Amino acid sequence: MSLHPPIEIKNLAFAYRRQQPLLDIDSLTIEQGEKVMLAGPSGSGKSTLLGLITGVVEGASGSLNVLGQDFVTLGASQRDTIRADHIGYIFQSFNLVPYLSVVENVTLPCRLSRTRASNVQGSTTSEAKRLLQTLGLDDPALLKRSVTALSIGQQQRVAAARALMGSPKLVIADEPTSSLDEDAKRDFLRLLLEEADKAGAAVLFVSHDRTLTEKFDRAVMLEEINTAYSGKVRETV
Amino acid sequence: MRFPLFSLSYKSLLNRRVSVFLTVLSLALSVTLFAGVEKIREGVRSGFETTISGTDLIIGARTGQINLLLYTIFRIGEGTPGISWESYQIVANRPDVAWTIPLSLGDSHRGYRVVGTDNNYFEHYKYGQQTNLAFAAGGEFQNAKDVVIGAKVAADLAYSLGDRIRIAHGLVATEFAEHDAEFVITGILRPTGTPVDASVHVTLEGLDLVHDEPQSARPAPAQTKAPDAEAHDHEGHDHDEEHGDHVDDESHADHEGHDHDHVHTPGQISAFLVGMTSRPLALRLQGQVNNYQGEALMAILPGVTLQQLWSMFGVAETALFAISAFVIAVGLIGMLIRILASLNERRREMAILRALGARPRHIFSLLVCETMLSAFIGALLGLGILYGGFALAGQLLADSASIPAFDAIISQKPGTFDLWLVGGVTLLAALMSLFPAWKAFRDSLSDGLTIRV
Repeated sequence: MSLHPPIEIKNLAFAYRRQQPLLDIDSLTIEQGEKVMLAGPSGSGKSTLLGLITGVVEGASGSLNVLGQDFVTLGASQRDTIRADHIGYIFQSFNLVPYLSVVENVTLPCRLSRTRASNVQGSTTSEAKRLLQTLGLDDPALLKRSVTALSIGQQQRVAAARALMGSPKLVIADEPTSSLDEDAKRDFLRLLLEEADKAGAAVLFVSHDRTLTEKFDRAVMLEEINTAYSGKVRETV
Repeated sequence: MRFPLFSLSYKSLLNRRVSVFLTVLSLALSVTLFAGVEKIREGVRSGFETTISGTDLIIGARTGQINLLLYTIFRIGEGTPGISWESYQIVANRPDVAWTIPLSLGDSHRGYRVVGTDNNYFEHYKYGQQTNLAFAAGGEFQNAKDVVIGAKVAADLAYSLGDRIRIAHGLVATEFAEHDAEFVITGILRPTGTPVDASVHVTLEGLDLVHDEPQSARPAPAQTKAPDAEAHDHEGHDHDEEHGDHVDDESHADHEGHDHDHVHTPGQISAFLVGMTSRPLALRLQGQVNNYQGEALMAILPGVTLQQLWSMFGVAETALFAISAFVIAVGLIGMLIRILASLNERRREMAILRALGARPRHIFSLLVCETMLSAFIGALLGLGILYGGFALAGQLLADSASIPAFDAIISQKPGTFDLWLVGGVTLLAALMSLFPAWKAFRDSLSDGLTIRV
């Protein structure tokens, strides 16, 4: 499995039943360890693409290989397992389970997946603390606080630590910096990419902020590769 | 793929502890009510059923069967008219009668019932599983003025052997009402958990002695009605001395105009217990006693009459049972409402768990598990409140003589009923949680990793 690219899309099409196609992508590949920024206006099919890649949306046609497994034909629970084992996910905001502590939130992927747990050397708690520390959250008082009492920037960094926990092959971040100020945004991005590099994880980073493009290996404009969207735009124009 | 179901459920409940606690508490109280109704029913039954055993017949004046049983054995309810010593002797001397215990009731000592009887009482009266009375100190009657007191009387009034006590006329503890004759405590019984514990036993001769003294001041009419069953029409009248043990009567003279059930004329007793040489003979004797021409007598089989009593309670019990079951349903529905209300605000949490690899069925089982856990804790808490309440009642209500079967109720230990109740409530909650769990399952499928709030 480790030889396969994290994401390999060929002729992927998706439409909700009897509706206009939302997604029609000829080809998109993200190589191991590659850092890719995904941009695109709203309605360009970002959520649908992320849903397909994470395996929670089904019903596509064509070929969507995630870590060598074809998600178009794979069963729902196997897709869930691959997501648990190999994908770290960061939401736009409110990433944390409110009833778990900071450390518990970070170690949660290891409790849901044996693979993620076995990827950790030593105890998951100390690995969580190490990750939090490298992400600038090393104040012991902070770790004791309820996760809902953290600032948004802190919450996003905890989410990043969780996504990186147990060395996933792929980290998907869905506009994680959109509610951060400029400094926090740059800090967050730098730390995330550094840690992903150390872990050898590929990163698919969704953002509208074109100023961040330079930080990535490359940027993908969804409106350009999604012919279903560009076709629609052409029609309306 | 593994899912730390229990620890997530537990922490999730703990996180919303205030609202969870309130719904759990309301379920707990409904369980307390439900179990309380059952425990009281159970306690009253076992308390009553263990109070008398081995007695084949109770014979007294012709009144209500239940009334005769309640008055003679449990010492509650209306006093019954007296019966003649001659009738007692006729029955006692029959060859098919193994033993008899005469009972003369109607007096009191500081709120505790006085029972005039003889030593047969200590030899033949049985309670529980055919258990005889036993002495903690002293022994049976030796002289006319000997007194044997129950364990509770001894404990509450701090009496010991050799103490001298007076007996009150009727059941009102006033200075005026006390007779002059002094009795000496010569025996203290071991605890039995029956009304015997709260009784003061004196000899029939002793009772006759004290009743002789004020006889001049108290003309006969009070007793004349006694053998006549018709006289019991007075049931609806004021029998203050029968009910309100603590009602302070103005004076003893006041009693005289009344038509009370004080029946101790020499030569009269209230009732007697009969043990047959062979149990089946009891039915024949019962028929003969009920048809006896010399006096209006009635014989009852204690077990049968107790069954009549229970069937009388049956409707009320069923009603209480139904009400308390509905209260449990209300408690569970309250819980359901809380879960449903919390589902929307928890969609984000579910999406996070989904992103981490949780399957929709994990979300489903998380909700079922949380509900079962709340219901389980609620049921346990409810039983805790009940048994805690029993323990507290045992501590606080030391003067429990007035509540029948009180000890039998509060001394109950958790048993299989409680297991079934906890299991049943938890299972019902699980069934009920299928609805919100299914809703969350469906939401998490359609939401995926996007959060719609």
